[in-house]
Amino acid sequence: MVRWGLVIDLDKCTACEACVVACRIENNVVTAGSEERVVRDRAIYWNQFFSEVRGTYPDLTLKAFPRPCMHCENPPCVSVCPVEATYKDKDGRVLVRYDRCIGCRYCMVACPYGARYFNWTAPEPDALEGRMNPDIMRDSSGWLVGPTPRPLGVVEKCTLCIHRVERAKVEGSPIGSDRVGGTMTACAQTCPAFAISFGDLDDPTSEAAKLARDKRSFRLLEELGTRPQVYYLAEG
Amino acid sequence: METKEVAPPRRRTDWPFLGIVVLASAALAVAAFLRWTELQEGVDAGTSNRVAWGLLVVNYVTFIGLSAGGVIIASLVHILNIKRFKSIATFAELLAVISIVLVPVFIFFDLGRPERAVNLLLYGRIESPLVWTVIVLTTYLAVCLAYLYYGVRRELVSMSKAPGRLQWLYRWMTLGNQDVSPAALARDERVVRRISFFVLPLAVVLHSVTGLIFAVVSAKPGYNTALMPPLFVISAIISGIALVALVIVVAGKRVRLPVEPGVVEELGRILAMLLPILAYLLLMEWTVVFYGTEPAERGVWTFITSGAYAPLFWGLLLCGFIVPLAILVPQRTRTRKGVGVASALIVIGVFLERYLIVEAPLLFPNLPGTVRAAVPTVGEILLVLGVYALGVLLLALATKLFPVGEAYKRLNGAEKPPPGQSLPSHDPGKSDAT
Repeated sequence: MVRWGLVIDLDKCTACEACVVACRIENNVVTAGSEERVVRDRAIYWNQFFSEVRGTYPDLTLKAFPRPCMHCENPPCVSVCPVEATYKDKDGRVLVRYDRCIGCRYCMVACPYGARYFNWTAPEPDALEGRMNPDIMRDSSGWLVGPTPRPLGVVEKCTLCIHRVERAKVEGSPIGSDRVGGTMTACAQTCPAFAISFGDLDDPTSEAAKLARDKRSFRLLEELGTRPQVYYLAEG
Repeated sequence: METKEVAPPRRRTDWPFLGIVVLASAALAVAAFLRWTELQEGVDAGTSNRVAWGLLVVNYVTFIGLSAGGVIIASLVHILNIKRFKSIATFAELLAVISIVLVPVFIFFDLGRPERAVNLLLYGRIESPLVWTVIVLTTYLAVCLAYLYYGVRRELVSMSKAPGRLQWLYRWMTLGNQDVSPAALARDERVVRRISFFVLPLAVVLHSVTGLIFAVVSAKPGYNTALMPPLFVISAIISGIALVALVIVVAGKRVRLPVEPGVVEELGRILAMLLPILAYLLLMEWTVVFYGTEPAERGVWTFITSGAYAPLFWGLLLCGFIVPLAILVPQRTRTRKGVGVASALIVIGVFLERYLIVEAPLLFPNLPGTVRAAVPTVGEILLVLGVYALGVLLLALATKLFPVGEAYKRLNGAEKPPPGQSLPSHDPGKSDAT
């Protein structure tokens, strides 16, 4: 079995947020959009950057980390979806069928990571002009799961760059950030500090699987029992 | 025997009726237009990525709850055998049906892709509490409609035989069953009684499932408590009874409901007995939360009691508990008017409770972030008012087309000559005097 996942080394992370930008461009996630969208907390980030300052001056620490979808092994969003628009695919990814979603937003309420976003307003096609990723990804039953611009009124989220991975599978090229010429997610590829590893967590030889077993490794909100497939390496 | 059935007269079309219909239609049209624009351009509401559910979901939950009134009245009549409530049983059931009919409207106004709602049937996922709700709500609506049908069938038959332009409508609504022999009527009576036994557990399931929509979200402090389903059941019963009492006091005379004397006061007494149970459940929840040290749980309730939602919370205590109890407990103030006022306050109070329960936990992120209260927009409020207007419209039309209390009046009057004539004690003009 394949189980795609990410390991993000927070010791290497410089908080440059290049992963956030790369994700936007790769997946046709329109720019944060009008100021109104940001003010009303309606901007979409498949990969969102969180930072938190702890302590009081001069005893301060900065906790900063990017948050893609966790692709949980036990995803709370999947069980609450009334129409099976969101599901766990055989490669361990949590996907959304954009053309089946009814827009009830129960999954957004259930997701503890806030990784799911709703298209509150109509997509702005102009914002993508000239840099639209033309890839369209459909699952085995023909439902739209890939990065084509999502319609108004549905929920969307990170797919672990499914269009890249599936294309590599078809071409027979290597997949994983530790392989030479290996296909990886846009966030992993763009990270200037090589802080993000993408690979198969079920393949014990992959870099991602090895790092996930590291003693610095932890997962977000582990106490909830969601068992994310995105690991972090604590700052040591 | 059928030829002797006298069709009950319909209410005349007067100015207040026309005014209500025109106003309600206008509000509904505004809401429909807003919704249509929303489907083209996007949702204008206080909702955001974090607070994904807004005023429409609060109303959806509230109206499922309000439908409990009809069931409780039916149970009082048939299970506890309190005959007096029979005078309002059909009317209460009508209110229940209207409340349930509004629920899908709220959902359609809220869904991002309402045209895909059919996916609920095509691809329904049984693990989802929303699918449980769809199943239970549909069953519940069907059962309530059956109750209503058997309750008014005799009237429909007599109206379909009386001369008038709407004969076809009444004939159509009898569903072809025109038999009004004593045996058939006795059977109707029996069916109604059996349904009322079945509908009570069904109502408990419905309101529990509504509570479960929230309770199963294990990552949300404030949602994830086993107290949620019982809290929803008791809130539903209280708000449902309060709605019935309120509508009877406000519109009972207009729709010529044959309310038996003392019925409204009795409803007030039942409310006074039930309110402490709701207060008790909330008190237990707070005791556990504030005794404990779980920061997330405390955070939600501290925010509710002293944060941006504090006015709503204290409003709920005052409106939902203290003032209604002060009115309903002393017999001196438990008059028709008093019960009306208390019921209005209780409906508002339960709405505030729903609002706090649904909205406050959503404000709190599990990952780092600041808490900011979501405020409904004007557009959102207009949508909600539009659906309320639809409810008023349905009630106005239903009570105009179908004289709601006639069946009861006739049944009781039939034993005494002359048939079809109401007894003095059933004269709405007298029993409704305040």
